[in-house]
Amino acid sequence: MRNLLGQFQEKKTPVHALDPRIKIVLVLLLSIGIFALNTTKAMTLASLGMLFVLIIAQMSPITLLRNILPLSYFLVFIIAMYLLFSPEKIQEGMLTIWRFMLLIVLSSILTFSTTISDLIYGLEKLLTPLRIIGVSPRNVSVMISTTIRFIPLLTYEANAVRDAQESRGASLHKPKHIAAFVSSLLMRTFRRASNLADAMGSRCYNDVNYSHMKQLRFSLRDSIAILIVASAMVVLR
Amino acid sequence: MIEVKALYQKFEDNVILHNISLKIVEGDFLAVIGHNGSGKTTLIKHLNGLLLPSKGKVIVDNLDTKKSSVEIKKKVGMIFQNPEDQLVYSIVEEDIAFGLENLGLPPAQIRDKVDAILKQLHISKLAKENVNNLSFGQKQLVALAGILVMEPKYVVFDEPTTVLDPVNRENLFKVMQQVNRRGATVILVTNNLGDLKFVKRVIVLNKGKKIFDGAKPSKRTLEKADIYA
Repeated sequence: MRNLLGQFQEKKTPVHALDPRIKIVLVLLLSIGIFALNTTKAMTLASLGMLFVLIIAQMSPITLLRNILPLSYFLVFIIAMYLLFSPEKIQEGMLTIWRFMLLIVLSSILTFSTTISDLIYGLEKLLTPLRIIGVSPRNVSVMISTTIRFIPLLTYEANAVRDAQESRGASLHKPKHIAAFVSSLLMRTFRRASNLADAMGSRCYNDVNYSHMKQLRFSLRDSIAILIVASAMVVLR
Repeated sequence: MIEVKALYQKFEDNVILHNISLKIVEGDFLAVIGHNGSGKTTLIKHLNGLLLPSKGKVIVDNLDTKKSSVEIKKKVGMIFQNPEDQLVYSIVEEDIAFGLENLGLPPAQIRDKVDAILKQLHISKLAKENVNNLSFGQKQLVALAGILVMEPKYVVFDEPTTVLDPVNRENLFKVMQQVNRRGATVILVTNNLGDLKFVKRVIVLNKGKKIFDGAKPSKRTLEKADIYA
């Protein structure tokens, strides 16, 4: 979670300066596009394109490796499955691995060049049309924000409950003690959620008449980015 | 002025507040004291409409809490005991802006107000920090900034000093006094006798009943409410 969401580094690059809405949409389109690539030549060209973006975004290879390594077990697992069940299709397996790697690079560039709050705000704006079917973009974005905000607190609570129980001889290897741990953690979590709801209520929370301190602006740079990605997708098709 | 008129509060069969009546005038700096379970927090949750009376009325500047929810919440800001539970966003300045965004203010105005309150509380350097990296005292200041930025006429502090060390406690009282001097009414909920030296008026609650309202409660009154030095 920390690797995927907390790796933003402030830099003055054209990639950082793109509107987060555009970045999200382009990443989604490119992700779909990557799965449509079938030849080694197309994959190589896509990889070179990605390398170019990495250089423009000034993302260091170490940062990139930090994102790839935690998922390397998954990639090894895919290769192992191919070797075990269909070794004749190993080339196809390698292409699949390659695609996953490109997806990881793509998402890494997104989170490296965009703050979490910009990502959430961009997502909120992109979800606006869903109002028609009763989905509140504001509620979705606040839900994501509070989840991210409360992950470290829940970890802290879990450790506190575990320490309190272990200091009285409990062991998390026994089902009875696990149940006590879970119920105690849930109670604390619900209490926090109730307090947070009160605090949000007292700060006039609503999902109808609200504004944002930040303003997103679509610029010429965003149009160029769309044009480049669209051209690349047509060429690689 | 806030007027609490014959307020009763029931949760299922438990009566939490019994016939509480009081007036809080502008510029007041008062403490509501009582032991745990005396109804302090329940009472103050009525002041900004987080709870609505089972019986009786709470009137804030001629607005009934049962009828004017948003207007009252704008007037009465609440600082809760644990700042951890009231910070919504991870980045300090974004969290401070949260209340103003809910009021639908223009972005430039929100920016100006956020910058001003950061400066006023001397926490400008924390603007871009992640709240999870702050100390408890800093989190409390950020939570306070998130309320003060909305310029409430009445500021309610719910047991803010319970988990503070003496230095942070002293700092918080300085901020409260500053807020009061700037014209806001400060209502402090506490169970700490030491906090009373800072306030002009004290309300003592015991088992959901108001047993004292004045400048300084006697030792006997406090003992009756199970509050000991």
